[in-house]
Amino acid sequence: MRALYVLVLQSGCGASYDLAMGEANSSGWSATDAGDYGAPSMTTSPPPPEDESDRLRSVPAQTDVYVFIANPDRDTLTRVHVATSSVVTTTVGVTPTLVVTTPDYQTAVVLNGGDDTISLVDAPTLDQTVVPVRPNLNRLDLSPDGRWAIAWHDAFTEIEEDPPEGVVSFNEASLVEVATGQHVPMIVGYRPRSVAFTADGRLAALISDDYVAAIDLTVGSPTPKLIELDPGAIDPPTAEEMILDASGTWAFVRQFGSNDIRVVDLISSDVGSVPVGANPTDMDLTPDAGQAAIVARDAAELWLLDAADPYAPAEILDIPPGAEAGQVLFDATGQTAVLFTTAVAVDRYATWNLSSDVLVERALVKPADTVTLAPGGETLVVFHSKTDAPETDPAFQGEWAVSMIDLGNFVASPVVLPSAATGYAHSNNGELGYFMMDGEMTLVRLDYQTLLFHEIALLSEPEFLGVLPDLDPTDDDQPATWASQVHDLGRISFYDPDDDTLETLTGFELNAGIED
Amino acid sequence: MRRISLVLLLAACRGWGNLPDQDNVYTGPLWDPNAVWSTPDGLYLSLPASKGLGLLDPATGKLEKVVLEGDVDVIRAAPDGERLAVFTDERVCKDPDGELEDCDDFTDKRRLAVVQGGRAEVTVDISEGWNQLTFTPDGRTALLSIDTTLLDDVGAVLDLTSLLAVNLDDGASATVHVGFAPDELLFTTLPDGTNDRAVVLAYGEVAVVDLMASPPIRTVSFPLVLDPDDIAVPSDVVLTPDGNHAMLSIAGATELYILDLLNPNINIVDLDAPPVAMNVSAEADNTLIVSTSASSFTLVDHQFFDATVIEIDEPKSAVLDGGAFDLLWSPKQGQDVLRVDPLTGGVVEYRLQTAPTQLLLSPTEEFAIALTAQNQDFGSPFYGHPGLEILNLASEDVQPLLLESQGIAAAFTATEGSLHALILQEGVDYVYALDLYGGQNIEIDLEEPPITIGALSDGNFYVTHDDPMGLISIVDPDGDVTLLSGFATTGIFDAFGPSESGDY
Repeated sequence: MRALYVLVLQSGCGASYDLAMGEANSSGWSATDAGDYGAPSMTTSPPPPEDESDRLRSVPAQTDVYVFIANPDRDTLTRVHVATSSVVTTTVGVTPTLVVTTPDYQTAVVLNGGDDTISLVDAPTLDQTVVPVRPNLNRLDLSPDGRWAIAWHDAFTEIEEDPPEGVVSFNEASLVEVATGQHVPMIVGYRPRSVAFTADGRLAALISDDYVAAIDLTVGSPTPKLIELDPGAIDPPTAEEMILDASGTWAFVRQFGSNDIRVVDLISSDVGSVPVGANPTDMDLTPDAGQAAIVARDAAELWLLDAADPYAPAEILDIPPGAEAGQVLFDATGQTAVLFTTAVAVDRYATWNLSSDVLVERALVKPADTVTLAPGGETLVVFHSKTDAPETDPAFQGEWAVSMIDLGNFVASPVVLPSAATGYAHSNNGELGYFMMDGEMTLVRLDYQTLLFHEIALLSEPEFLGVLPDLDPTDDDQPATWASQVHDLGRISFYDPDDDTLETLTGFELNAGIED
Repeated sequence: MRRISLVLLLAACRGWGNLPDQDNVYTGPLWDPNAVWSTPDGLYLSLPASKGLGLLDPATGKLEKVVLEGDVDVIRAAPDGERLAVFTDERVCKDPDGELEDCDDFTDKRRLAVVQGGRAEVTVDISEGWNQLTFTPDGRTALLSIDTTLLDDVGAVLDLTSLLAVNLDDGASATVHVGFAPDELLFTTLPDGTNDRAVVLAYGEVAVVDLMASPPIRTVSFPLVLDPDDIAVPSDVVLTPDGNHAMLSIAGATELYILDLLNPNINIVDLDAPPVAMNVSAEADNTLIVSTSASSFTLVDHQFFDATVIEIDEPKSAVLDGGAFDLLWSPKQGQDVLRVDPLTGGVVEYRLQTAPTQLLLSPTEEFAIALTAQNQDFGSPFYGHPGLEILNLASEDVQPLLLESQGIAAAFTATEGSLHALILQEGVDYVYALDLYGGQNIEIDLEEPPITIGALSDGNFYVTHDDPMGLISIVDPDGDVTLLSGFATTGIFDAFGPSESGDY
């Protein structure tokens, strides 16, 4: 099956296109693989690592008015104007695999894996600047302000059938200034895993196995400062996850198999450790950026470090043990967080009231595979695995399912699904969400106010989906939703929830061949 | 067709040195009763013996040969019904100063002549091979193409990817690349009636030609496939009334291609079944589509190109445009004819006694005539007989008539207060005249069995017969018949000398 890579608008929060999602689809990934634990959690061996990748999320590939679709098989980029349905396809580099769009909606940044270039495409005119970058890069991130693009090589998302050729480096990244096309090649450490930015876009940091590469983005020609996590150590634990504090002073690094968090002073390059309980499996900044929250799964503890003073005594909260939580997810309002696990077949989760610091264990109809919060923070959406817990309700036994849970009164609205969910998207006004399923020619609309589901018939199976920004949340209009679909000539549908109508464009890849 | 052998005796006109020899025995047809074109000028006839074109005055029976340069090869009628396009070939000496009699190195000179008023109004030199022609409805341009199936032999390298655009005002011509094997052509029209663009269906692509440019140029080419190995053969195309979109069906495919001609762009609408016929309604601003593999028809609106499917009892394969309505039918299959209001999708069903072989709409769009094949329904009063059925399109009435022989053609004439149809049956020596307003139908005896019929601009009909010297009946709808005969010998001596005066 040919993959369509749908590109993305960075919304200022540093969200990036998840290549794993695209590859998972193109290589037959389904929630079955991720969510079937094989057996309930009554085992004596340690549970597997938490699966933190939000694989069901399809990052919107859009600006305020356009959706961009990269066509790697045809070396083209298709721009669809949602309101008018006008489609323009332009040639970019060879095998465009990733696209992101800047927060000002003016530029689409395309990583062309086939000729190792980045195309900086003006969204309104489709004029473009081509920037040669380092070879074999397969990930692309934008700074929150959209000024810089970082392309890097992620060894963990290499396509097995298409390994890199020639001289292969596992240390490199290319920093490209979007406005000028200035290219800064750099070494960032062996096997970089992720990129983090401060919210103001002044600092970027790449975490690799053993280093943090800090990049001051305010200077004319940025260079990385490489900070070794365990100086002098032979075979130190490798890094797994990193977050930055809001000021860009501290990096918090979680390492495989370590019960400590490495705390990196990005200014002085000093590195220290803070113990955080047994088996930390997830960490995140609280919505107010005041604390780093670390989930110690084996200890059933939630460790809260002062983000501005990491070495200050930590606040520790007990997690209800029945939840077996290994991950934490904050709502955008900062009122509530949920703690859950996707590593074991447990039909429980916990809620954490951030005002009172009260944690409460709650029930799910069956174990979770992917958990997300509606942008408004009022509704929790749980995509359940097919695997059952011992107490799973008979109606849901052996079935795929999804639940919407009102976080005000914890009323749940679970439904059985015909197959695994393969992607979802929220409207940014927090009122509606959508998801798609494996093998199903439908979209399902989630109404976060009523907790009702509504199925929308498509002409073919959706591959990616997204919701356009709600440019005026004060009006009653809901933003349109798009779903790209598997079709030889290209297909995308636009759903208008206001009048429940669907418009489908088919054959837009032919536009690349129009001669005028 | 009966032929005639003539020994041409010219003794009275020329010296003995000009007596015909054995080569002057002509055994081909003098005229072709199947090659007759009715125009306001009269009836144009193909004259194979003299390789010419004649104009017969139906009132006098006099035939004048149209003066053309070269021998007539192909004759095509313009869509306006007023002009003919005639391709001619002339054998000339390659040496421009050489005399034909002394020449030993010849070449063929091909021309296109546009004939109206009994003469060639425009004559354009063209290269070999061009044998198909489409006029723009505004009459400004003729677009020529090559149909290789009509070529007996190929004496030159032919470009099968181009059209030849001929300006009929000044005779200027230019080739326009449009893609391989251009086939159907449609034209967009400006408010003043000028045709500004041609939409050309070629193999695997659709080209748009700017006819306002001088010379005309291709402005856009739409691909229909991404992979050259894929095959997409356009089967039908229509234009939306505003000329902004072309709707294109592909043989055997359920996809309907929507080509945005203003902002070049392609969209594909999925239909329930492969389209076999389409018709555009300007009033409803939609297109009706039928398929042989679905008991339904589809209305596609021209704003959003949404498809609305309306179920019917049986599939239909053909559509007749009635202006405010469409007539859906299936040649030789199904006894239902449906009148569809494209605005509402409402259907009126006409039930025929037998499946129609032809369905013809009167020029006033008040009646349709169905010619039906031999009835195979043992219990039917029509069993074993062909028929004729008159559909009153203002009501749901059908008047079935049993025919003596298979109806093979019909023609209408309409004058103020009268509407007549003439029905031609196979092998019978009369035609059946229908007074569609008065309801009085009569048989009109003919001298010979008819070959073809047609309408004249004066409200009469013409009927051709297989007579070697030329025989045409001019039929008044009331039954009066005037015979025109012997006209086919006109110009027969052209092969042996100048004949414009007819004085040999």
